[in-house]
Amino acid sequence: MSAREGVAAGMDHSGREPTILQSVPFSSAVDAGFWHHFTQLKLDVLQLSEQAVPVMGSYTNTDTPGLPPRLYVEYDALERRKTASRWSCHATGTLINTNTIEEFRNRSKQDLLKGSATTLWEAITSGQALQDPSVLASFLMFTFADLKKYHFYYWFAFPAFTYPKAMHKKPPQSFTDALTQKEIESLLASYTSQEVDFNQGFFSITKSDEEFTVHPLRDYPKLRTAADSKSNQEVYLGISDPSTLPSNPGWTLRNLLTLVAIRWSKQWQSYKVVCLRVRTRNGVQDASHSLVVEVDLSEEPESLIPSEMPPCLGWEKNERGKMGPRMVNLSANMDPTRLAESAVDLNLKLMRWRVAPQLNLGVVQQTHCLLLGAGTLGCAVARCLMGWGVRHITLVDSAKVSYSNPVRQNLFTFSDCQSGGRHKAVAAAEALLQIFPKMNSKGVVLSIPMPGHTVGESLLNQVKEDVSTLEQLIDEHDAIFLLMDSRESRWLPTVIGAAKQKLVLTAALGFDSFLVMRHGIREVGTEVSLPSTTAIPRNSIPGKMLGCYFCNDVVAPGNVSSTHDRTLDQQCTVTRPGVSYLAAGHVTELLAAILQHPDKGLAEASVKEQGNVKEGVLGPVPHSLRGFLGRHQLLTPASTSFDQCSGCCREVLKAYMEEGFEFLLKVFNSTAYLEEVSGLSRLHHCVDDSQVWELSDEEDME
Amino acid sequence: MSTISYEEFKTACLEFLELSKKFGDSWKLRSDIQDKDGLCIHKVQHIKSKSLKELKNKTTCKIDRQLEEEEEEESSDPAEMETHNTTHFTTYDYHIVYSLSHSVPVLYFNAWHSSGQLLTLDDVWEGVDVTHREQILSNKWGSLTQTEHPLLGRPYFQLHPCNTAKLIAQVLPQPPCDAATLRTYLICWLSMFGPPVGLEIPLCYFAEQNTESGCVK
Repeated sequence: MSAREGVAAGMDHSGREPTILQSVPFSSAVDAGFWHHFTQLKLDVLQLSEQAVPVMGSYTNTDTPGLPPRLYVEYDALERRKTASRWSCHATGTLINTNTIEEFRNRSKQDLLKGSATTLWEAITSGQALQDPSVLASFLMFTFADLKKYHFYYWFAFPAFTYPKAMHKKPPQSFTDALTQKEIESLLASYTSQEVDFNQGFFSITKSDEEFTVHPLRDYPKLRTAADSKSNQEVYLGISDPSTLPSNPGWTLRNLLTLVAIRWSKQWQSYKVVCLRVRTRNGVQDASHSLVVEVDLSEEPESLIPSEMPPCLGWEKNERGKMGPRMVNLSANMDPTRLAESAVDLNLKLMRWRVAPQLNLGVVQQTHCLLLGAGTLGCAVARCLMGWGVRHITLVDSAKVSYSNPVRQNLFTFSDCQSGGRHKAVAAAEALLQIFPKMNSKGVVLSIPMPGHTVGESLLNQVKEDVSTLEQLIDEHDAIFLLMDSRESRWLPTVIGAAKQKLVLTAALGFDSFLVMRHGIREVGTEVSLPSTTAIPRNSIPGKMLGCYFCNDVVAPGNVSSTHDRTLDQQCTVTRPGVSYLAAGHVTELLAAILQHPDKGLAEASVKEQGNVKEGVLGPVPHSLRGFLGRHQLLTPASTSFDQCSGCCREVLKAYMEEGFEFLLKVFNSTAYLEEVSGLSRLHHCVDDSQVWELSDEEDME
Repeated sequence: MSTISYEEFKTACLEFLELSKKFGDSWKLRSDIQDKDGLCIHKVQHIKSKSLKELKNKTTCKIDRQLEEEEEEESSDPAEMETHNTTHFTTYDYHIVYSLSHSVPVLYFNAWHSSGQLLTLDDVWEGVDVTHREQILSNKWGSLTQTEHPLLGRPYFQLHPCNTAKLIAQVLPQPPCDAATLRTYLICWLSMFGPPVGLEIPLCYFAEQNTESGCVK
């Protein structure tokens, strides 16, 4: 603090060197809602126009001490029809918006300020300001709105002049020291009885004996002339003072003094000024912290009344105290995509808080899900996963949307069927984006090669590529859902998934039944042989020994010579419509339960229906769920892996990992080969008893 | 259980606004509601805040510095008082809205720093004062959350209305029946839900009620 400032704030009342009266600059306060309305205005009305827009600001003289004087721009500052209200003083503002950040940076701030100051100067010199003193509290808002990012740059200027030099011989006095209680009450009574209008910021006051009366500002010369001839009368200038400091009035006094100097300093050089501040406590007004200051303009002889506009100043400093604009990032409040994102996120957090505080939402949201099949199951599973907050979903399907699909496959609409039909995988992925814009969804059009479906010479390269694509997709995802409508198509991803030790979940539909299952996660590439299946613990099966979709079969998929009646997974299965939603809901929640289990995919499964097994936050994780809609029954059987399983036995995985596409091609061309490799054909030879065949399949089970 | 209908809510608000005007308080009718039948009254309050935790948005600072001008002439005006550190303040905007599902008033609010940057839900939880910390934070998600303002469609903080009816019934056993009792209802409600989020009601509001006649039951 310089010596001068120290003196101005001092308590010494003896007459001494006159000091310059220092006013407190405004701090801008823009309501967050203002930017909403401004955005609307820009989009609807302004567009690229850079013409000045009128803005109505306000300030108040009712603050509690400690707050800086604020020029407040409310949410409705752009409304022309704002009404005045008591305790709120009007400030006339102009908003100038630029369309690019470069313009915002390069526009001459000097010129902008000068433009604003010129308007003010003209109002002062022409006398307009006497009729409408609220222009004395004018301001400029210089802005740039980045409507893609919802970043709003703004810079306020409160124009004022370096003229006049306002001095005071003694420091401002508070009302408590300068006036009697009766006088304060009288002044307050007169002030509050004024009609509420826009000109409450500036006024004149007459004092007759102990009675104060408030008058319009323009009456000042008349009043003073009359008062000068009487001994018991005094006249004051008055402002509704936004400052609360004990020795410094607010910024609005500067322009008032400029006006006074221009118009009346020929007649009078010293003025008594009342800086009125009113605090309302419990409905009672108190003005005792207002100030009275005697201002002396005699340092500026009247011959020096400028004919031209004096230098102007008034740009507001930013939060760091430097000459620069401010920026507010309102994307979280205005960007629709971000709004959707945070709403969905909040919803999940609320669910967690209410239902299971130990839920790890992050692990579910970050799981990359691969959905093989974008039909009835694929669409329903995708939607359920989205409900959990999963963001990465890839759908794979070779088919196109046909006219029967949209009623059962809930991501498609009638328009997807037109012109031959869009590819399901692509249409589904897009639908997910329509639902939630932040989805990372992708659709892959791919035909999954199947055992027993011979690959002709001409298709060889395509099939090779398809296999490679599938391998890569499985590699890139954490959870693989087998949601196809045929048995054979599940074989290849089962093998690849087992080899890569991925979490594979199966859902299959029957007419009025369904199967949901998690494949066991094999140990691969080790020499250690799996414990014999007869050695399973009584109550539970560890995750690495659980079976896969094919483990219960004694024939390889695609074996068209099989005489077994397949009730599940017929191609183009027609099922009771509710069944797909049941299965989709269960398979998604099975994933959720797995992810919340400390052992994840290796979680043990109970053999008994209500067994005692290690649980996760969402409870125990069954191996499989079988639902029978006819009897409204849900079972949770668990089974071990089969040593001769065509999908996951050691020999098959070994052959795949060692021979790769060569092996696969042989399988595609002949299921007999697969039965050979897995050992199933040996099994067939060994067994005479046809009873075994009837037990082993997924026909209606009791 | 003490609930009110939407019509009663509107009456209560308008009565309350009259009192606000009388006491020099700054409650106002919100004018930017799209829904013609929607009513919302609001009040803005500024509170001095501790030094602004530097905006977490680092990019802001980078861009701002680029835009800072070199001119120094501005800062040496003798008639301008030096404000050493820009005094920081936080603006709170409180809204009283009707909850259709609970048939009670609900308090929504938003808050932003003097820079214009909105507070986050974590900031708000942090800012709950000592007296009410336990009450609010023990039940964080159930009491003070962020949700869409029912009439403005933007995120606002909300004091959840699920316990409102029960709480008010404990204090005002008689259901409100006329304008004066409805006003009392609203003031009573506000006196319970306002203070935990920084909104105090001056005593004069309560004094007023005693001079009005209650309804005869």
